[in-house]
Amino acid sequence: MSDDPMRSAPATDDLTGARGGTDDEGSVTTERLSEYLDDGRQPYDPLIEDDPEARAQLAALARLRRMTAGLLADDAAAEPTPDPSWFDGIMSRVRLESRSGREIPLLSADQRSSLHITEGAVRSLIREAGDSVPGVVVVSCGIVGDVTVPGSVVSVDVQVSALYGAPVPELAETVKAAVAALVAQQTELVVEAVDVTVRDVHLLDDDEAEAPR
Amino acid sequence: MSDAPLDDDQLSRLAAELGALVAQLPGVRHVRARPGFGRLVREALDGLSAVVGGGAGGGADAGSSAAATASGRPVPVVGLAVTRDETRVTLDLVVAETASGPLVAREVATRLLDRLATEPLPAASLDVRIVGVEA
Repeated sequence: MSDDPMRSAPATDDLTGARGGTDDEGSVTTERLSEYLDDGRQPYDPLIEDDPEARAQLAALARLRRMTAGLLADDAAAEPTPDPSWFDGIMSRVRLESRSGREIPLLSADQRSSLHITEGAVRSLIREAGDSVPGVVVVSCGIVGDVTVPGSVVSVDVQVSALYGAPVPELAETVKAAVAALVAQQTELVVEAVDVTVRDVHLLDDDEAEAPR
Repeated sequence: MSDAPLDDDQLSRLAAELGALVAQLPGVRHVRARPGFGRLVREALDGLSAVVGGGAGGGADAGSSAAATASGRPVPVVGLAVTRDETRVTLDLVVAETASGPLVAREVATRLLDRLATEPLPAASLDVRIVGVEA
């Protein structure tokens, strides 16, 4: 396996559909986002920088790269090291989750006006909150319930990978708190529960695992 | 196209001004055009007299977009649709992670409605959407 699974991950049709940096729906491909990050976001690409969905995917990809920079390449290790399909799977979810989705209402003082936040923006926020917890990579996330009705009760589902060496119950609690805080700050959803599922555990090398982020 | 109290060029300038007004408000990181704005307002509003803005390719009235670009200005990202009874303002926002999205959206709405109240236009309503939250 390569030292850097993110860069060695083979492009698959459902993720990239690569033709000129966009897929059949006109969305920027993961491959193009990866190249853009490699180039230090230069030259400025309005297809990416002016598109909230592409920017959310870019941010998620950058976080994923940072968090997995120290992944072990040793396939003989006792715990499984993520293979390229693991990264592909996460980026596939990121692409789906960053789509606008439902419109979540915000209170408006003016009855003729409507204020909303998109479900895609909230999902990106949930992912960012989870990824901000050292030792955690968010695999997928979602909001369960009818978010289009003001005041309705919803729950948040977050599936994560834990990086080996961190205590899993503490990680899960920290993710819960981080997600709940950001969702409360940026939405008016009534969140009755944040359900965190640790799906798997992956290895980091010792130096990376101990390094502050 | 316009039967509105302001002609397309004036509306286009107003839309650009509204975009600049919103962009400088605390907590606002970016102002974005609503994808498909022109099509959406035509479906939602009867009796349109003018449609401007919505960004390049946003589908607003071709004449007003041409007027904006011919005068050397980019097409405003804020969409303005005027009917006999209503002035509909449509825009997307990216807000700062450190701010509160709902508070930012309400402040944006207040400032836009205050500004529009000074124009000889039908009563204003807003369609404001947060499409991203960034650090």
